[in-house]
Amino acid sequence: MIEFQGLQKEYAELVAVQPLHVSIPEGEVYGLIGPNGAGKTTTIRMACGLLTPTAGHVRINGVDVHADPELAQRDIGYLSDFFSVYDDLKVWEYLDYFAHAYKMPGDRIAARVDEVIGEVGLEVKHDSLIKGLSRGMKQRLGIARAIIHKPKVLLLDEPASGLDPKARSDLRNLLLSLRDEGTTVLISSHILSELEGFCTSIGIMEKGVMVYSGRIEAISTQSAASFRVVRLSWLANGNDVKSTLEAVTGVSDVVTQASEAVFRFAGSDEGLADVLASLLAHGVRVLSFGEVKQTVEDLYLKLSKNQVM
Amino acid sequence: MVNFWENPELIRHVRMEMRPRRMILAATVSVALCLMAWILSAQMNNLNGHSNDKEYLQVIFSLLAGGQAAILILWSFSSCSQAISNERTMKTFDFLRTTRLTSAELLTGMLFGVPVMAYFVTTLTYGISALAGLMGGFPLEAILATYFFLIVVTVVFSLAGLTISMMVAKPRAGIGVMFAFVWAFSILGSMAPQGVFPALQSLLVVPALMPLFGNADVMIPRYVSFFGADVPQWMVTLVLYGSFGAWLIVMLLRNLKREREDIKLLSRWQGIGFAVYMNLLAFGMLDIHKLLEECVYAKDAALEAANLATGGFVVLNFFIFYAVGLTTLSTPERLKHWWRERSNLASYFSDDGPSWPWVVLVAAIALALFAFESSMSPGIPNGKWTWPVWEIVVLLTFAVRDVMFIQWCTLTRMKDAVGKAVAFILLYYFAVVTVLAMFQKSEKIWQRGLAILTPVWAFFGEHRDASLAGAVIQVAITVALGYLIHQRFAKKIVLRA
Repeated sequence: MIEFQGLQKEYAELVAVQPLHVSIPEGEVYGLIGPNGAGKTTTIRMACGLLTPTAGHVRINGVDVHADPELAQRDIGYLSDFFSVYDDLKVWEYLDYFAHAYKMPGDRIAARVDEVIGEVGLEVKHDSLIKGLSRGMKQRLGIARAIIHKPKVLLLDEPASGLDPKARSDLRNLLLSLRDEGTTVLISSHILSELEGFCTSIGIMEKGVMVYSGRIEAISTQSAASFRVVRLSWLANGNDVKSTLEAVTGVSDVVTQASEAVFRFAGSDEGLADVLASLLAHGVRVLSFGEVKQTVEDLYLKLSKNQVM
Repeated sequence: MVNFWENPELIRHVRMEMRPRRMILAATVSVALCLMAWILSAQMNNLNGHSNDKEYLQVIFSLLAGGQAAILILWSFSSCSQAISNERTMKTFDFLRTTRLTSAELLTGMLFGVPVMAYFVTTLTYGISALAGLMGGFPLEAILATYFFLIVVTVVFSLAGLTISMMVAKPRAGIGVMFAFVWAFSILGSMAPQGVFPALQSLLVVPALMPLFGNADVMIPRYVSFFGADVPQWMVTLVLYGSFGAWLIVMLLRNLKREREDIKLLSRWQGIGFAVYMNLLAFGMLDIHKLLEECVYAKDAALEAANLATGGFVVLNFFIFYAVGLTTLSTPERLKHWWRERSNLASYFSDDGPSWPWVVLVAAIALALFAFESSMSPGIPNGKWTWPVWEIVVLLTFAVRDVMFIQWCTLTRMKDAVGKAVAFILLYYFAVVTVLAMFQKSEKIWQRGLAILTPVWAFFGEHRDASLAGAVIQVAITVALGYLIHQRFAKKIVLRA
């Protein structure tokens, strides 16, 4: 569990993070999204004890990160966007070093190192010097380092930066399996598609302020209560679909292009069925008709204050 | 605390540095060099027709031990003075800071791990040099003491190197500071035998070791005056290096796992402790009898000695004011937080507040120490001492002004504000002296100008009216700087762009 209680960071002339009150329950995958410079990295660096907050507290599983850092680090795995690794070490030595540095029981370290190397797919590089690894492999090694001590909380700051599509997909699968094992994950990104599918909650930060924080279902339901986005396609036969749609109560913002349309509909499921019936009644030969699933990006655009991405 | 030999940081450095190929190469080169030095010395001895084998073996020992000392100390100092800044540049240090290793464990691992190859080379060649020493007739305890002191000095220099690299932004900057440090150290030590601080020569270690090899003479005495007693040089060396090392450890443990911008070398109370330590150390090293001997030319030797000692005390404390002000300077963020939360006068002495109240406190403590030290100085009656209150107050106004200026600079957008602020202050004093020298019409005007614009004349106790005017001006500037700092904090907070 991660708790931010009035967490705040100020520098001499600017406020990086305004007092932040967020609680992330165990097993949650929390996506911290926002434009560059929104305060995401500062928040994560405070959460893992790298930056001292100006005011407020961060608690990881009940332990204050800044009051008892060595104890708190037992439960924290941290990965930043751009980092280096020790080129003169071998892959297993690197992980062995961090396993000892996290004070894991000595008799379990060797097995855990092998296990993690397998999880990130670096088995063939087990005994290789790190300087011979590719950038993507080094990134995977970084991920292995972050999870070597089986942390209960993972703090990931733009972890997919510099990864190729295959490595991104592997990272995604790894995070999904960690989520299934009950690991709490706080992950920041400004590439929203990265967070699609495995975040259970999101927080939107802008100019150091958390403008929204909550579970994705709650946001979707909240949005659905006001309107939903519907996509329609039909066989082109000269009908004025746009006028037909606009005549139906609850339909708004109709955008048509060729034989496709997207529109907003505010109303019940029965009302939406009536829209389809009305189209058919006007002779529109409908090919497809359905609600568009909301992406994290849609949610961000709805909830943010339209800052530049 | 993890076991020394199981320290992960130490093991990491051993693994990185001591790959078999590298070890074999280093071992081969170092042993070959030692043997070549031995053979060369033997040849020279034969060529010169000397039959005394012991003498040339002693020369070999000195040569090898000197080489080992140079390699171990300089290698350790140089690698440690880049270690942390290198990790920061590489962005690997954050991962060390987020492990469960404590500052003490990290420090231990770095201290012996970063220069591990230098230790390996020294250990490997130790057998050869020790053999030469023993065959040359040197006592075993002297040889062991040589290597014991070598380790002590290396550890203290490595600590100094790590402190430097913790503070500098770029690894190369660490090397520059390192050379300045070594230069100051050797100058201090080499000047000591002629001065009234003979115990300072113990800094160079060699004078402490020479008597152990039976080489004591007038220039390198076996005993030096320390707190009025004759103490063996090796003991003074241990006290000096032990106490310096302890201060460096305090600074490193406090700050090693902090962000560079959050570093504050000492807490306020530690700053007070440092000021007391420096005053007592200087007093302990001052040889009053030697000072009185130096003053025999004067009409009243005791009065002259008291005046000189007082002058030295004032100069020392002037630098201590700056040292305490700088090492306890609040970070802009903490100062801003303090400014918002401050409630009463007592809060000015909080750890996050401005450092100048503590500099004033240091001045008061220094005067109390002066009373103690003057009463404990044999050969100078109490009546000969004059309290340097006036001098201390004048110097304090300049020191507080400069500390406030440095603090103000840290609140601006200036990069590396402390370094630049110190440079501006030095530039100010240089400019004042140059301009006054260019426009002086008489020596009196030149002296009075200096008394107003610099603290120089406070050391000589003359031109008190001009010094007073200068002190008043500095107080006014300090108040203005305080107002500027206040204005900066009162400015509307800017949200991140």
